[in-house]
Amino acid sequence: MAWCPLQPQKTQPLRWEQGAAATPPCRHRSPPPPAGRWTFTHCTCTHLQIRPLAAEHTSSTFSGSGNSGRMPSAELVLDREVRDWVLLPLTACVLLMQLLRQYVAQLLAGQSKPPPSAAEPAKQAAEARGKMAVARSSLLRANGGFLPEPAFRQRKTFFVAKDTGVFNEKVEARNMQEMMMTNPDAMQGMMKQQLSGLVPQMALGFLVNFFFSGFILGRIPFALSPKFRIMLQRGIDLPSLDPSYFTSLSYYLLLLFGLRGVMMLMFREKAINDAQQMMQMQQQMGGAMNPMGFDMEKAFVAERQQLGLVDHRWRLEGSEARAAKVLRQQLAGSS
Amino acid sequence: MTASDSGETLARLRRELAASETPSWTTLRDYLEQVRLLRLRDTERVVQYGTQLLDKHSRKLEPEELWEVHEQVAIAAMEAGCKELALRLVKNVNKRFPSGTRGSRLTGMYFELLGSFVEAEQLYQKELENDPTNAMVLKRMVAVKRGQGDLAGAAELLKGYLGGQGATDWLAWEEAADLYLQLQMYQQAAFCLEELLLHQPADPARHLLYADTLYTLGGAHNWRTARAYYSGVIEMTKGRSTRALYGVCACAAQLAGLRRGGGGGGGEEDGSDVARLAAEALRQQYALHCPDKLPLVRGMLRAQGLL
Repeated sequence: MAWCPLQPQKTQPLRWEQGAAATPPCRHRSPPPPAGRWTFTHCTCTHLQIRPLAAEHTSSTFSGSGNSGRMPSAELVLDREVRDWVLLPLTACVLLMQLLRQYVAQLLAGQSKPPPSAAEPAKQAAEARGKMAVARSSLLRANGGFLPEPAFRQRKTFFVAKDTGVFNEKVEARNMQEMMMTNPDAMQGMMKQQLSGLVPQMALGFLVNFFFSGFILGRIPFALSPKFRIMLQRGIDLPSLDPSYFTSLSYYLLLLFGLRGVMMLMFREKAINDAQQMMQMQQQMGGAMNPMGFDMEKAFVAERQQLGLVDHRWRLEGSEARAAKVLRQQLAGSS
Repeated sequence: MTASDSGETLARLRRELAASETPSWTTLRDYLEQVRLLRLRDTERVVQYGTQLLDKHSRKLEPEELWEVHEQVAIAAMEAGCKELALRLVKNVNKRFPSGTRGSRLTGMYFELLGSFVEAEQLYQKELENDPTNAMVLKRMVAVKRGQGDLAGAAELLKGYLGGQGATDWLAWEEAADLYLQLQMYQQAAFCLEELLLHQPADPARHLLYADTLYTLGGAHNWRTARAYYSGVIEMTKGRSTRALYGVCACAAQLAGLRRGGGGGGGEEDGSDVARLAAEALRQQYALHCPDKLPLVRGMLRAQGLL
């Protein structure tokens, strides 16, 4: 009987067979099994024996050796069809989807270098000029005393004159939104990245949930504590099942996060790396925030006030007298 | 503190290099690294030891350092005029980095060495199209203009750079001051030197050059300011700067001439005092170090009315 994953045979009832009469009443009977693809042929208080529905498929995909003492001889015989119709298709699905994402990401990355708009460099240049002006004026404040009075006044006028001074120029305030608007490329890039990551994952998640949910795919070769049930047995709510069995949904998640290494083998460092993407995104955000850190208008106002407070005191005032003193000492010393 | 430390390291490395016929590759590498760090101009040694390092030990260098050494030695070779060596190194660099600003800069510099300024300029122009704000290439453009003898053009280019992005680049201000001095545009040169004073107020050489420029500009006010700066240099160098002593004397002579012509200004007591003392110091120094030329100095000072 060929089993088709598209038509879950929910109509097939579960057959629970009571074991030897000497066994105590089983407490595992009470919760109804969630999926109808397994026949629990034998049940005692401590363990379940689950056999596949069709009697002829008895070859086990995984031969469970005797488990830990807590759950002795819990053994599941898995249907070969499960391997053919769930394990392999699921793996292929995830792999192909990763490949697709990879190529889509490369495609988008290749396109995302449009020529920068003409207004942007001009604005950046203006900002750079503003920064330079602030740096120069702070230098003037610090070392202005070494300049003669006219030179100092000339520079001060250049910076803080009533109408023409550099620091009195109207500065176009760039708020956050404008920043984002003037740089649509960054925004688009971010959205593209996010979309190219999110959409396929959502689609794949839906697909897997729809077709491949509720299967036990295999068993990891070591015992685990029941806490791992959440991780390994997603989609199957069966408290009595040995936690070392894993389900299709868990397998999917494992593949999703664990396939990066395989991808790296194929694409070298170009493989998309979700963690790295996230970091890049943050850096981009940081980069976009950084120019905001320099608020030109505020810096100009502050610098204007500070420069206005500075009085010129010529350091070389009276240097002749001091030099004369030095020379006199020298002459006296040598003669 | 670190500067003096590295200075000692440099001296030690130089001794080691001079001592042995075939220095070890680590010594060679460390020496070149020190020169790079301190931004020294040690052309001959860099060419000599750099060639040794690159010829015999290039495999031992890290790739990053290897190309830095290539650049360093290539530039030194161009300075020294070793065209073949420079060509070889530039070719190597260009083979490794076919498209890169630093590579094009080296190629352009080689063109400049050969005197084919047009090709160099074309190359730089192409780089500037990619990145119009690349300071390295902009400065090379200035150098090309200067190499062609177009001082005014070079000054104009430099002015554009200084007015925009390079307003705090003191090396560029220095270059601009030099250009303007050569062009005899002293007002502009004085402006550039003032900027330099703002950047390095403790360097007597800057004060001296500024005073020279002011003196050359002329006029009573400028002479007085120049005298103040010369005096400042005397104060900073404890009277060891002969040029400053001469400067004070010259300023005093000019001001005295002005006073005689203008019918007596008066109130220049401290000034004439320092000039007299400077003349005395000059005479003493010449008597001590160079007695042969003492009569010449004496004659000059007498002409300036300071003796």
